[in-house]
Amino acid sequence: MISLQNVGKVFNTRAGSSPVRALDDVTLSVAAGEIFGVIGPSGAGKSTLIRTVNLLERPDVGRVTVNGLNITDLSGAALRAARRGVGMIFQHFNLLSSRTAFDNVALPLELAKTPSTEIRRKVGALLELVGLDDKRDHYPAELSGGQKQRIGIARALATDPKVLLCDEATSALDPETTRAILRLLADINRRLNLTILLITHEMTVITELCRQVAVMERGRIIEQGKVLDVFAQPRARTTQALVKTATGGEPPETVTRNLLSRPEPGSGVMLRVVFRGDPADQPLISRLSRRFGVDMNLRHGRLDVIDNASFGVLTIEITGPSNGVQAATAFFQSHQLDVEVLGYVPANLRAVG
Amino acid sequence: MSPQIYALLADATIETLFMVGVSGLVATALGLPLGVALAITGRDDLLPCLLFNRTVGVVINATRSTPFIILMVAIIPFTRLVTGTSIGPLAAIVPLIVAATPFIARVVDAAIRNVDVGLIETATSMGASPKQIIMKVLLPEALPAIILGLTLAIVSLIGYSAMVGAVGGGGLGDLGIRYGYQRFQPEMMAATVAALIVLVQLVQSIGERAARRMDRRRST
Repeated sequence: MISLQNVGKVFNTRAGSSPVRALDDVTLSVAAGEIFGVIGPSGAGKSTLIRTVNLLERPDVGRVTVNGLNITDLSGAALRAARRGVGMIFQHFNLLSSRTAFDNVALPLELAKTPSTEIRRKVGALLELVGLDDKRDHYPAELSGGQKQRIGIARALATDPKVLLCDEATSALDPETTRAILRLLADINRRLNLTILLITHEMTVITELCRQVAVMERGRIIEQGKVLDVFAQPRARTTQALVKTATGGEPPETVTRNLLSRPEPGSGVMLRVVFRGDPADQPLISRLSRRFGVDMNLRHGRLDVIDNASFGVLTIEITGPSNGVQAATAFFQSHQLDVEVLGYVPANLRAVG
Repeated sequence: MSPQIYALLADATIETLFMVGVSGLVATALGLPLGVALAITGRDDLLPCLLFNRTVGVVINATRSTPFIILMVAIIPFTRLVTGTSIGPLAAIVPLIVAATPFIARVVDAAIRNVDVGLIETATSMGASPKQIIMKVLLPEALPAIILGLTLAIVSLIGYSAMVGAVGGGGLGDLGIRYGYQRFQPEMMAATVAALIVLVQLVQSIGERAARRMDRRRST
């Protein structure tokens, strides 16, 4: 549905300073009905990337194809017509302060010269879709951030686009409102079979909404694929750092201090275990505990569900008979779980079972 | 005060209102499109046209930096060309228009440049043409600021109109000079000044109220 081929864009900044390579040979493809997320630190070129899709930013080189149409070839009226097939929502909502909620949603239809009876019918239905039909006569200044973004979404859908672009759409919202907006986007994706391309710097947006992800850094896509695959085995340093924020990061100092670098008689073990995909669905911990006669103490971590599979990193302390501890560690490793031994827990410090 | 003063004052007020009203309308009709044109032709604007933008900018600055009394005298040949005369209220309207048009153009330019660029981008992403962006986004969003600017322009026009006595334009300022100053009638001077103050006050508060009613940026 959306395809970028070898797209490049350079910004010439003020005379003297070197030009900024915002997009460097970016190739990416989003299938119809897909929710595709692009994540990366600020300044990575995400914003420039999403803006090439409706040619708010014209690439210097490369091709951008949307719904089979090579839009990099278009200009004037043909480009304006093509843009109507691509909705867009923004971080700061960009609603017209002089228009009511109703009239804001009506704007793209007015621009497309839609008859007013049709506008009234359509805007009513859209306001209902985003759950704001009671706010139709309110001005943006009278609405909360979440409500403004809902109006933004209704407006973006007014011309029945096949594609929705979300430019940091939840970055100005609190976590709870973010969740509600993400749910709405997922719902719209399902109901209208809308293709969604979003950019964000928030991992939660990717893990909660997207199926495909691309990680960007300094104008390049450094990693892309299914969300679970990319985040379970992050190769690039940037991706690893992102995953760390999503999985709760490193265990705190209080958990890792006093650990021994080598085992001694009676010591337990502190493991950092990455769960990805199915193994996390099994009652692994209690099964291990019973089978090897060891105690397992969860010290730190976080588990999420990505694309119907569990994903997360847990720091687990295993104590008990030393052969049991070894067997449990070996069991984790044999079950394709990524296991790292953080250290050994001295016998006198270990958790009492 | 004698009834004669009232009659003189009433006539002069009507003359002032006539001059300010006509020149204000014509200057708005000219200055508004000029201001829009200025606001969209800069380097990173909707329809960049630097030659136009710079040229008009220089002309506007030149006009605005010329004191009104000099401007009025300097353009007498032009005034005569347009109205056929260089004396009287009609002849006074021409320099008023020439002075107010660049003022209004600048005010409109500034008001439109204050509209969030994100809104222009949003409209562009919806497939809006430059004309639609001007009519449906820029002008409605800038309207409160434009109204305030026009108010300012009319207040300035009232001030300028007090000088057009120099070309026989009449009006309140002329009355004050001829009766109050040259004929030593301090009560006449006081009356014209008072009338001017009331007029400015009135225009200012009407303009502010209109702008406030149109401004939806704050919740009420």
